[in-house]
Amino acid sequence: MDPKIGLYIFGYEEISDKIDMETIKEFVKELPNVEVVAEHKRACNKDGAESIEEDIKAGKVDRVVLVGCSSKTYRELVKKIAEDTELNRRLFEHVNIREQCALVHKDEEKATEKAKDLVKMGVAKARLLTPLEDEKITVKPASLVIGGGVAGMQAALDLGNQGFKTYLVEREQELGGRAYSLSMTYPTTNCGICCIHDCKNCILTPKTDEVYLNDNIEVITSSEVAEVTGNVGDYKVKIKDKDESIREIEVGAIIVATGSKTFDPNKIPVYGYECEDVVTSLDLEEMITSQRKTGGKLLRPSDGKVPKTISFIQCVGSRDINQGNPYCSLVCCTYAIGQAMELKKMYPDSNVIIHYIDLRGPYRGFEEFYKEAQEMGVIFVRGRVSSVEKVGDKLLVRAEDTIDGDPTEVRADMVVLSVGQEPNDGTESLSKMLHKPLDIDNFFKELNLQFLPEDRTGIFIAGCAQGPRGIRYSIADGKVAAEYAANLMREGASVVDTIAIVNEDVCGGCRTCEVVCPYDAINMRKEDEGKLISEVITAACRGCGICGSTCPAGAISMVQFTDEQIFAQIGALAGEV
Amino acid sequence: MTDFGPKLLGFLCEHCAYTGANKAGFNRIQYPPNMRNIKVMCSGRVDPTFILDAFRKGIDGILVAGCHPGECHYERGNYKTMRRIALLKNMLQQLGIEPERLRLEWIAADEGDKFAAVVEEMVNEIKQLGPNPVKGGE
Repeated sequence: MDPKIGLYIFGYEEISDKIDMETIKEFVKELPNVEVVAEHKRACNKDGAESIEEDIKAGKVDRVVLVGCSSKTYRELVKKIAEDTELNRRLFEHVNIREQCALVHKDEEKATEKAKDLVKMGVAKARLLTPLEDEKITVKPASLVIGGGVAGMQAALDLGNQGFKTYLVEREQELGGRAYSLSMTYPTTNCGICCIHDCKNCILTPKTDEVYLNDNIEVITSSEVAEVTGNVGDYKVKIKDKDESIREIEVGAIIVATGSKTFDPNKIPVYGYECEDVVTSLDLEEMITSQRKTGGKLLRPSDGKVPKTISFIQCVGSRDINQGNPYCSLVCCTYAIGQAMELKKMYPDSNVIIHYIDLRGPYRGFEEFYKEAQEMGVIFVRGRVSSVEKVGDKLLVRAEDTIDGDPTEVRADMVVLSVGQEPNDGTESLSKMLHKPLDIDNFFKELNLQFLPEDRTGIFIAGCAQGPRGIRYSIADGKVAAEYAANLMREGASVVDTIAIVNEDVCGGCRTCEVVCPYDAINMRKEDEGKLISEVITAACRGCGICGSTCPAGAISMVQFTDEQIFAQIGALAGEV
Repeated sequence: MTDFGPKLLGFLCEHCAYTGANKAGFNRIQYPPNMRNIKVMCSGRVDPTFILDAFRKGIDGILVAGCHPGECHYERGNYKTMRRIALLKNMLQQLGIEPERLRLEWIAADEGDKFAAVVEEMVNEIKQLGPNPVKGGE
């Protein structure tokens, strides 16, 4: 049966001002298989959708071409019309004559000519569109959370509380990650995470005992993910413990909350980390925590004396294209000020100096925090530090002072390096295992919430694994990831729109498609005579089309981007019907 | 169209190049109207036979545009494209078609200005080359 194409132009001012709508409509009416041509104002208004639905329900139209502005606006329209009329959503084509025509070409006549061509190409493709029933992928109601820091713990708690079996795998012996080894969190500088429950900020952080007590959460510590196979809804994960024994689990969704590690200051030898009295911010946290436990005082590591002058160096490994990373690690200015105030409280007569380049506090309350530190007598010196050298029993810090305009020297008893954050060890191999891309700084690419409904991986990233951020925001990330994973487990996933389809009559079993597929989404099925036929694992296929363009026989193609459809578009442009 | 346009065809990958072309629209960057675009999900979808067919049918110039290397939405589609276009250009020479008629560009989703500049350059270059030598023949 011949297709009946309905072409609907949404020609609000910015389109119809440049492109002659009447010429387009007259032109399209003459094209074969076009039954209905109509013009509406805006796609986002109901009237357009309603009139299209009427045409479909009346049997006038069984293929729809929507002509207007850039495609994302039309996705919802297609979804709505497809649901209301039960016309398969793969029978819709979209033509952009605004951003790629009306807005960018001065000459109205030429813009109209181009629009004619574009619409003709759209109709040529629409003639060849075929329906495909939507397959639902069942998602196993179990999740894996990789990483037991605050983001991972929160995600596990949220999932466990919703009744989903959750495996929480942690590389170290203890849960809590870096946050749990801190002596303080901003802005409540005098308590840690495992602390007084009446502190309103601490109520927000997940507690290890809650995680252990949750019936649905299985905590697996001192273990790592060794291998991941499968696809959304059905992942088989091999977990390896410290004795190298392997355990396999099956999950539907995965949350990556592997966090970050701090920059290794040995990479910048001029800062003198080899000296005993030069410590990182994390070293200092350890010293403060143990000092609180023993009731003793915080003393110089080398000789146990009370430090009288302490210099903090900011941006160690951050904002440094030569020896570190180009990005800012977000939290170091805040935590350094917190630590400086802690030291000043301990030793009110000491000199506590922060050498900074810029002071950055991304959250409200920071300015007040900074002012408080200044009033307490913490000294802020703006300028880069060129070196830290052991001279006698002191540390000579050579720095700029841009406000005074002269170089300065500080004879410090201790130096604290405010180290930045970096992707954690194992990020690269995990990224390959999960087919989850890394960004330019080698952190996992941030969850783009705009594209999440199209996500076909069932793998969500949370916390510092995506890049430096504070504790509160890592926890929020964990909640978001858990929400998406929970939705996926509840509602299942659907196969991707542009899924690969094999024409088994044409397939020669050469296995080229199997080799080129980045997602291992092709299986070769053995037939009776030993012949191999390509088979698409629909849940794993992401619809990229690499197999389609590589197949020498033309046996595999993408729904809505078949070879025939593209040849038809080329032909339409070249002057064929 | 009786006069030599030139008539250009662009294969734009949905995630980067097509969105980049849209960005040119949002910013109202003006460029010549000679190119008609075919959207594909990935530049890796572009089968060499599409390009050969288009040249055979008389298209004067073809742009294949995808994500920057390392940024392909589907991991490695654009690497395939890179190799294919290199080989194809060699072949075109053998077929009597100037390899400059085929152009490969990496255009990110926010590079509207680059898209416009590439189209403008192609129009000028191909005007210099003249109409597709295959035009009118089989």
